[in-house]
Amino acid sequence: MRTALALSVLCVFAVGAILAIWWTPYPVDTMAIANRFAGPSLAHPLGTDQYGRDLLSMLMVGARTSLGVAAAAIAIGVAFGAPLGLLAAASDGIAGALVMRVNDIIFAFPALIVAVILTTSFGPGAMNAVFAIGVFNIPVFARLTASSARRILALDFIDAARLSGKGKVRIALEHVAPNIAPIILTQATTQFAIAILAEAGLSYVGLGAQPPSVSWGRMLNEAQTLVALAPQLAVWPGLAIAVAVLTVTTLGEALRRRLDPRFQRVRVA
Amino acid sequence: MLTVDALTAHAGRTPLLSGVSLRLGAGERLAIVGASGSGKSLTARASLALPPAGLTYGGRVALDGRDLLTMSEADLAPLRGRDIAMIFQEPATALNPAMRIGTQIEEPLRIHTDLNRTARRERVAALLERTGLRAVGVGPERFPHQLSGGQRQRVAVAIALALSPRLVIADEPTSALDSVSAAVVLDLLVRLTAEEGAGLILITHDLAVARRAERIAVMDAGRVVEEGATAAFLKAPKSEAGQRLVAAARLVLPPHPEVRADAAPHVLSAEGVTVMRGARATVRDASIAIAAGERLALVGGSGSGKTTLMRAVLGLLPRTGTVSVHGTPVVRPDEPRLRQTARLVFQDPATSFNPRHSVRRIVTEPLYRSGLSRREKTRRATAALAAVGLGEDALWRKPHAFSGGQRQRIAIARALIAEPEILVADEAVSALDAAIKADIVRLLDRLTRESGIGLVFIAHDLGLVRLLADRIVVMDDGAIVEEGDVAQIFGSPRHPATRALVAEAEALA
Repeated sequence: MRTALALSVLCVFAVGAILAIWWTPYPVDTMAIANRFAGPSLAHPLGTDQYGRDLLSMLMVGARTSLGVAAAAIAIGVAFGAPLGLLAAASDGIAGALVMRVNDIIFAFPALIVAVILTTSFGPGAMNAVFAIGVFNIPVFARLTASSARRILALDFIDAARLSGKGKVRIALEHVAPNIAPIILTQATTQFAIAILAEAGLSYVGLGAQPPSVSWGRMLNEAQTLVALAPQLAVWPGLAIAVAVLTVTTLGEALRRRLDPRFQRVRVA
Repeated sequence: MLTVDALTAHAGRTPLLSGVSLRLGAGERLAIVGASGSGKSLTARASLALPPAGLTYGGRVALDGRDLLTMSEADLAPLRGRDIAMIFQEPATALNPAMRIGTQIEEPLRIHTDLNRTARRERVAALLERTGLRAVGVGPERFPHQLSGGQRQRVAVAIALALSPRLVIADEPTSALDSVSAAVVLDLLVRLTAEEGAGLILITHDLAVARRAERIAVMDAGRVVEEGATAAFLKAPKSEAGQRLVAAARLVLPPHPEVRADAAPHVLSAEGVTVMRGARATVRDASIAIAAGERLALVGGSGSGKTTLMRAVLGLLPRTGTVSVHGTPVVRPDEPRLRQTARLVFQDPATSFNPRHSVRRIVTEPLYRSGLSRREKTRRATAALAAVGLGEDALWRKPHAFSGGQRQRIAIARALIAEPEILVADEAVSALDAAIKADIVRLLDRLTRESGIGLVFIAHDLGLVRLLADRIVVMDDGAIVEEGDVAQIFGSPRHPATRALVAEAEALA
């Protein structure tokens, strides 16, 4: 029930974000000062901001940025982290240790610091947020992959495969990857929720999406100076972030319950 | 003392026990035997009113007339441990790894008695003495990980007996132990409960354990199908389940034609094999050779290096020394020649398959790089499954759809499909129930007999070794210490390790 609700909420967010690529109820890059701070109405269901822009349209475009940046960052984390983790698990020698130590070093830099470094080097922008959050996620997935893979690699069927003449790469693809994929998928949802928050945080402090592009974090930032005058401007993006994170976390939990054998019903002899 | 009347157990709507009735007098020893899933553990747990999660009991379990199943948790707590004690199967998980064993033995005394600290310490020391732990230098200051499996189980016995309970329930207390430790623990359990005048319920699938009891109750599919005095039952079991158990324990195989090991050139031989783990040699300068059609048993206590030696010979572990196939040395450990000649069957059927692959994919894995067509591979898989007594319908199912015994058949089919000359079975039956074990042993016997395949089996169960082996190699502490045919090893064992193994095998038989 909760899962179904979370799934439908996420679908609404996703449809809104995708739709915003081509169409929004009102353009978000033109001002209509005469109509600023309008309350909810049929024409503007959520009202307008200090420049008279439609808040619903803003949220849709913001969803595109927030979810897009989060998804891209997780993709980077998995695409680099998982193979590195497999490599580290499969080679017990220097290569594996090296991969994990480099990971530890990256892990020691919070995403915020990485973002500051990237911003000062390349200038601010949504792409830098993607890289900052993505780089931060690589060690997360590398570690998880390595530890899960080591557990699988210790099982007898891996030796059976070795005795059948299969090489390391083949064993990794055929025997290890399918058995750790659920664990990585579950972690990805958790990290996705964290990435949404991270993107909002980076944009809020001005290290992510830059004006005139719209993101939930930027909306919060702009609403901050007007919070006494028009608190609703902060409420909507704040609510969007909270609901998105909650939804993804709920889905992650459901996924974990389904895939984690510890939650599966115990059979008694 | 303990009366079980019309006990039932349900998981949701599924009945797991139906109408189980048992009686146990003070100081009496009862064994509940049966295959896995027959409900023997559930019955025992009912005597502690301790249903596993998601399960409900019905009926009546009374200790001295007081019904345990209707009692509140608060009333039960003082009974558990003080009147009824339990010993679990797995010594590795039954003890708290972060607590000294003295503290763990002392715990029930602290909870249930008002003895002062000194008196409790004295009790603990006495228990360590009586369980023979003191004699082997195990004091209360040790942690569980510093003890062997058998020693840990002796600690569990000490904890169970700390409060002189009136009933001890031991759930497969020895099946996780090697035969030497098993005999020690079992002797101890029987002797100490008798000294204390406590009743003992032994849950087991192994008649060698059950025969220590005065009475045996046989369970099958959630019912008690037979109950009687041990001697009478062993002589003439009445129920079908009982007959199956007794037949499995009395397994007899037709004589195996003698193999002239020295006449024929060895199919697989290893010379001076040493395996290092860190700075320590887990196998030292071991040499072993197997002739065609020969059945060789590799025996020794746990940690003696049997498995390590065979895994190194097969190229799974780095080693020094020479391994030869048909007299020609193998240069690289991953040479196809080596893996085409010898195939490994693993101990634990639960971890030897990728759970996501179909049986067809599992069984045909050794044909990787054989260049055979898909159809030919499937044909061979069907034939290999047929050879181990499984039908074609098994091909498309996943391993979890099979029982432990069936899985071990699949594992053997996987080893057979590439038509090896030697099968290496690493404790291939020790994780199985007695009845299923007998099936697999018969299967191995038939395969070696019919196809002339050589068999190396690693075992700690000497009963099985005597049954199946032509020649025995004994390992102790990483080295091969004795070698000979069955009559030699059992008749005149020379090395102390061999003597210990043989003595325990005689004690259990």
